Amino acid sequence: MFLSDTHLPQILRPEDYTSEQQLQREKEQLFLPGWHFVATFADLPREGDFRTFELLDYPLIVWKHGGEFHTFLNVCPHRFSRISGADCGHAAENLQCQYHGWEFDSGGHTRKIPDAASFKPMTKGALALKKFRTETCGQLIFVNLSDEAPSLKDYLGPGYEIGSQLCSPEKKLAVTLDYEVEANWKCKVENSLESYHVDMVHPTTFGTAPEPEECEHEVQPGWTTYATWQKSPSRFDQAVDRLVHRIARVEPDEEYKHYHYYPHIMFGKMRLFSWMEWTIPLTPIRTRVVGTFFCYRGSGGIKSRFFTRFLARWERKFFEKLAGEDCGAMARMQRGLNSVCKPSEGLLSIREERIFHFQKYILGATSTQDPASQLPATSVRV
Amino acid sequence: MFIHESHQPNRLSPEHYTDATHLEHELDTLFRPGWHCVGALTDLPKHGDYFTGNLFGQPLIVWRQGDAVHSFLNVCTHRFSLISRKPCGHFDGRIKCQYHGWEYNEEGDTCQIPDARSFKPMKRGELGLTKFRTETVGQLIFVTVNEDAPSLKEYLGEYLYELCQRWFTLEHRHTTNLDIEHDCNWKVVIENVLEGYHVNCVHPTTFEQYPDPECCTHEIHDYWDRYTDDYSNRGTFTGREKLVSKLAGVKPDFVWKHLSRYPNIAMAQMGLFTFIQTVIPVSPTTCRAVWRVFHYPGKPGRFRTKIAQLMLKKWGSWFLTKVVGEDAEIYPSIQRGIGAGQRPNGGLISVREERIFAFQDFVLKSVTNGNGRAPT
Repeated sequence: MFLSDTHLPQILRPEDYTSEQQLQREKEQLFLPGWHFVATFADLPREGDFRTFELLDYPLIVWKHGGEFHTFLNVCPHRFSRISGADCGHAAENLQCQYHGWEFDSGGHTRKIPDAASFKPMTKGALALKKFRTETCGQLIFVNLSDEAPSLKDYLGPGYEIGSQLCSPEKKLAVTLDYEVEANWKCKVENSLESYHVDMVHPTTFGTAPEPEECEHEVQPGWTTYATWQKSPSRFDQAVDRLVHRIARVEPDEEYKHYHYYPHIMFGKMRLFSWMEWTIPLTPIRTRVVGTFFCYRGSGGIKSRFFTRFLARWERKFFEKLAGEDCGAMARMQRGLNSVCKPSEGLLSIREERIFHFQKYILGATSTQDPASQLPATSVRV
Repeated sequence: MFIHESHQPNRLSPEHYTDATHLEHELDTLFRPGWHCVGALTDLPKHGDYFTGNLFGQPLIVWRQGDAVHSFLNVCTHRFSLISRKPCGHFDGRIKCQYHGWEYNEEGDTCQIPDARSFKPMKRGELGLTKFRTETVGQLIFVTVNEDAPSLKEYLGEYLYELCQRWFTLEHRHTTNLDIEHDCNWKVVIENVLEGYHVNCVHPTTFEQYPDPECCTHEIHDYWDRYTDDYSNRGTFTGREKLVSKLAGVKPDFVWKHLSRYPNIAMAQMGLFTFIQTVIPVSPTTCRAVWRVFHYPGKPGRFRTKIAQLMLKKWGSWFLTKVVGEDAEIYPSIQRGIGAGQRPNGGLISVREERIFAFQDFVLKSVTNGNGRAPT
């Protein structure tokens, strides 16, 4: 059952999904102090591998050295060239800048400077790369751009334990979906927080939204969860499900569960599958989404490897289709939000109550005024 | 040896490389007042030839009449069409607009207007093309969009002007032209050519290795500088140069000379090759580099000259295209790092790169003083 008895108001205004100022506030209050997904272990398999990427207009480079992951600003302290312009590469010993060949160790300190004599006077270790805190959760690598922010464990709270289990290194990475959506980042998050759109948007993947009796919501200050136990009504699907679990020799876990840790990290699990989704705004109406999808990994025999491959393939196809369907729906929603003229204030069903709590959190975190005074007048029971 | 004894600080901020208002200011104080090499007489071999171009957003047509070269705004005075959309072509006697066929003479005055009666009343010579001051030195064609600019000789200075006369004579043959758009601020390109420190990483198979300080000299003046590298002890180029110099009948000196007239002109001589490079900003994060490369194969008419000509043209265009391509590949990456909102501590200019310090000093002073002349 759901928590609220009555429908809830929309707290955020359409402008909050289109304006540059709101995005600026969100970047400062939510994203710059936050932790961000960088890569999975599988993206940097060998010692010395590196990848470059952009995060909130910072050019960054993540490098595996000494069994650990290190993230630096991809800017050389010499004359500020990018250290590497390649998407990925390998640096076994030291990171070397592509322009003049300065070398840096895993602490970011300068190791070798060609013709160092022409830079006299220079104290040893005076110049270094700007290093950012990098932590892992399961097989996921996260980075933080702020020096003051709490650790990843404190940031995610109970989500750290959940994430470590759902994305543990024992699981097989089936696919990483990295795509851009033509919509505000909150559209993406809100879309994942409700099952109400399933009938219209995912008729052939999820089928129908579950009955309220089969659902449960949990709402906490920094996170919400959603669980359902409803089985597919198709007897064929049920038979396949039983068969798959028998082959895997795993007791079926009936629970579908979705976790959202504010503002932008989500985990989920369904049968033998689990995933993480991370969302980052690019512009007010453009968002990057990265989803990493894992599946059960067998014990390692030939049969089991074959079975795992089959599962991973099915999972990839399923979530690719799902993401495609959602992309279209979110872009259509954004076009509605862009409209100058709106029909009404909007409302949220109890099935969508997680959105209400998310919006309340956004308002509180980004508004300069008292959030309570900005709530619409409609009485709300939660 | 170098001039400074210790490293110098980098003086430009990310905004200098990314900001549109800053570029506008640079265009006003550094570029529009100056002279710019838009091409060479080898681009206009015959009487009546023309080429079109673009200078700071203004379309340009450069036209040869006899020994004189004229430049106009490539916009017809009738209804403002481009006169010619082709990169180059030929106008016998008069420039003719492609749209309605209005014709102009070398002063830019209208000569013939088809069905002129339908434009009555109109005074003769009323609607002339906008003409830009144009000068040539050696083979090089310079244009300024500034009516009040000093003469080219005064702008380049006595030394550089005379050098242009010697390096780009009519006996110099055309090796290759390059006209490349780079995805970076114009200063990234200039700073790159002002130092040889990047050679080991960026040009490992062409220039191979930056020279020892003992082989180098820097000379820095208020609006230009000069760099020489004596490579007579290094084998990379000397063998080849000895051979072609013998064919051309010239005594080799084995000194690479590179000069720059701030903000945007660089020229160099190496063996029998000479080139001039002009960098023109297009937007805060894009620019165009125009190269004119020449070589001297020897006195005309000899068999040896023909051999030297073949070798120099082939090797010269191959080498330069490769080197310029290597630089072009790294420019967007430098731009992204140099324009990033955050920077690590640092920004050091080594004594080997001290010309960059002088260049940045010139840019800052000129932008503050509001003129493109020598800062004081």
